[in-house]
Amino acid sequence: MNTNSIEASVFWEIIGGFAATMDENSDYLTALDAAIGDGDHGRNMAHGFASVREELPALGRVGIGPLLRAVGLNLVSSVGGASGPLYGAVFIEAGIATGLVQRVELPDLARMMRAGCDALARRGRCKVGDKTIMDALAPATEALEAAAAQRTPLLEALQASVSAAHAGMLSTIPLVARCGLAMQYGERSAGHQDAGATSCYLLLNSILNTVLRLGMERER
Amino acid sequence: MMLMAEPASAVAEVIAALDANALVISAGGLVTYVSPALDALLGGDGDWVGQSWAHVWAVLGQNAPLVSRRPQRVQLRRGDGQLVAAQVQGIAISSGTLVVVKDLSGEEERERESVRIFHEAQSQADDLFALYQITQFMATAQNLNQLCDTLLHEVMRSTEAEAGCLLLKDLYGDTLLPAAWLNLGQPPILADEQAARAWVEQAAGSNSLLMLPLSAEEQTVGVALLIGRDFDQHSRRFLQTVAHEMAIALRAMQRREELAAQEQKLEAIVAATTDSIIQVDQHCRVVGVNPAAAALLEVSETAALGRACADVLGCANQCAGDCPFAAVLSSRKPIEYQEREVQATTGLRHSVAASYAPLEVGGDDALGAVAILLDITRQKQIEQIKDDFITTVSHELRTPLTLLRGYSDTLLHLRLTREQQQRCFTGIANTTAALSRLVEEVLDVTRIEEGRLALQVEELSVAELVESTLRIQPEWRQRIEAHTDGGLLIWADRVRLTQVLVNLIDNALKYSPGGQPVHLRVRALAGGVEFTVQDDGIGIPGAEQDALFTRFQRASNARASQIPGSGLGLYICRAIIEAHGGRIWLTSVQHRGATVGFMIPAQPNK
Repeated sequence: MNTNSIEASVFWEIIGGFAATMDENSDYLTALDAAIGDGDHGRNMAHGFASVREELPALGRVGIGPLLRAVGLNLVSSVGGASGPLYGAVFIEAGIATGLVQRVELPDLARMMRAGCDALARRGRCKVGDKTIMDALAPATEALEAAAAQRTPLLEALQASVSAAHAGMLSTIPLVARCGLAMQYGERSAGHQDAGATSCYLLLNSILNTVLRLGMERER
Repeated sequence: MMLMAEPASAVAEVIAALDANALVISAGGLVTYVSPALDALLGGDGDWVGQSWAHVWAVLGQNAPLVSRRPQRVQLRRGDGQLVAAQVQGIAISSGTLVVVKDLSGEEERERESVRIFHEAQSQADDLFALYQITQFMATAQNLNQLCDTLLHEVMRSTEAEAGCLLLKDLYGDTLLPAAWLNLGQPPILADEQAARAWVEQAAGSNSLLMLPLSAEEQTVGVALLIGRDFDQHSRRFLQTVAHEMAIALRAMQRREELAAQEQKLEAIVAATTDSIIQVDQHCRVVGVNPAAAALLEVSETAALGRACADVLGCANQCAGDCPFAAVLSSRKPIEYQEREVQATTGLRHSVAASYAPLEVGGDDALGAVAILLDITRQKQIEQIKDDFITTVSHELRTPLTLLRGYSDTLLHLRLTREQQQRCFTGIANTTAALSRLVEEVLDVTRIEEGRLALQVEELSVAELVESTLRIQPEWRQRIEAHTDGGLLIWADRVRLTQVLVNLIDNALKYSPGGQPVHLRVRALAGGVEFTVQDDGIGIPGAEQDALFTRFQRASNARASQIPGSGLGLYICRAIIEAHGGRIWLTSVQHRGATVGFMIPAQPNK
């Protein structure tokens, strides 16, 4: 595996990793969501990504763009609640930005993330500080863009991006929700970590883990 | 037109047969073969056979003359300058390298088309999602205020408006009333949409203003006014998408609140009314009781629900036969007035004036019935008392009047001895005294009823009081055995207390027809002095004992024995004793005498 690019085959592994991560963290996410939402985020995400893992092999060996778009389309309909259309938009726009290529490098990744981030802002009509997925995705995207501008090695860039997402996720704790159903909790939403920002961090972290695992397997 | 070389080998032959896009490069880097298909694809701009590979590659617009085994995506420049998306792969063969070119232009075209479709779908999905989110708020809002606040907030957030307000018409008026506002001072009440727009235009100043009419059922429900720097296409589309749903949700919530308010008003009336209201379903099961009914029947509102009406009303006909609910349910006609009896869970019976009506609660089968019960127990009692009064007083009047008439007839028509005349005059005097006592008693009752029973309290010697009482009727000495503790003093009204003692002694003698002795005992108790008058007469049936202290109540055995009495004595005694701050009681076993006692507190009643 080329350490500065990610092949289409790796994306299939990454998506398998998403499904495993959401499955492992289902209860955790549901507990977070229960505090200021309807308490189904974990189950919804796990269900959605399980559906993705099940249905994607039928696609065959397509380019990275079509793969991500297929993931997005699947999520829109398989993840219940608002998360489906939101994550769906992220994957679809990232896929559109990627095109038919079979391999992406760091600048491509940064472009994909930016496209996903913009899609989220547009569909969710949300911005950083609203206590949403955006609070993790926006800093992660900016970190990746900064790394790309400085020609940082891919793994390092991914690590920086995941750290930024983690910090962003934690930043939602004191926030008062200004978006989504949690908004109805008003001031009472403060003090709880946002479930969407958490699932976003977990997904990004899962990308890093998959890339690291495949790298180690290759070296062995 | 490129001059074609003949296929130099079997490879070339195969390529031509497959109509593949390919060329062959010799080990020395010269092009040895170009397939007709490739030549056609690239627009046939020259004869490449014999040219260096680097030259051809440069002609095709590529920088690096490299061909690798791994397929590479490239943009090849055709002879006419057009770019063609292609995948190039080099395969080593014995005569050099076979370069296979895969035409990706079709795939690119399809990709462009699918991206276009995706963009369109995404945009529609954005609108749907906005609608989804706002309908979630609509579905979860608890009341109109919350709905207005959330909708305005959501609309402002989505359009990045800086200030805004939501003006609503109520269900009956045309005036736009402020329902929610953000970052505005108190918005005014405005006559119509035009006035609203004018007002906010002024408030908007140099900012842009967006007015969103909210209409449902071809009526204007309200208007949202947003002030911001700029409202882009996206914002406008969002608002168009949600406006109708917002209007419907707002109107529905207004209706819901109106209904709830009406329901509350009705409930308050039902809860506050002193009439008992009981509702049953088509099986005569209780489905609602108001607080007055719960109090009347001494049952909790929740405990009554679901039970058979017979059970709750303590009625014996078990929802059949004489059951007015059953009658109303089957005839579907109301019963306007019926006097009945109901029994509380404690066994207490009440007379009620009841009206019953069928109640349609929705669908055809959902028939029920409602009863309104007015407790008329008190009126019934008053009627009874009135009847008793008339019966008793007329009887009590008739007896002495008959006597008087007898005496006067005797005096008028018979020749009597002086002694006989004397007896008649004594009889007239006694009868007149009894009559005036009856009149006095009736007057006392009136005084008691009107709270005019005034006491002249003084310190009295009990022994002296008893002595003076016994002197009233000299013959009492023979039948009354008095036992009085010495030296007792009380604060009391001499006349009234004497009246009580006379009454009790009189009763004791009257109801002891065998001439047995009557015991009058007076003794000191903690806190007061107790008087008891005990006889061994006919006694009083247990169930009637308490009632004797109320007006016109006489024991049944007393009435049966034809012993005269007004039924007022003990009532007056109780009033006098209670006015002294004391209490009076009665113990008796039928046929074995009665004891009436009372206690006067040692301290004067203030």
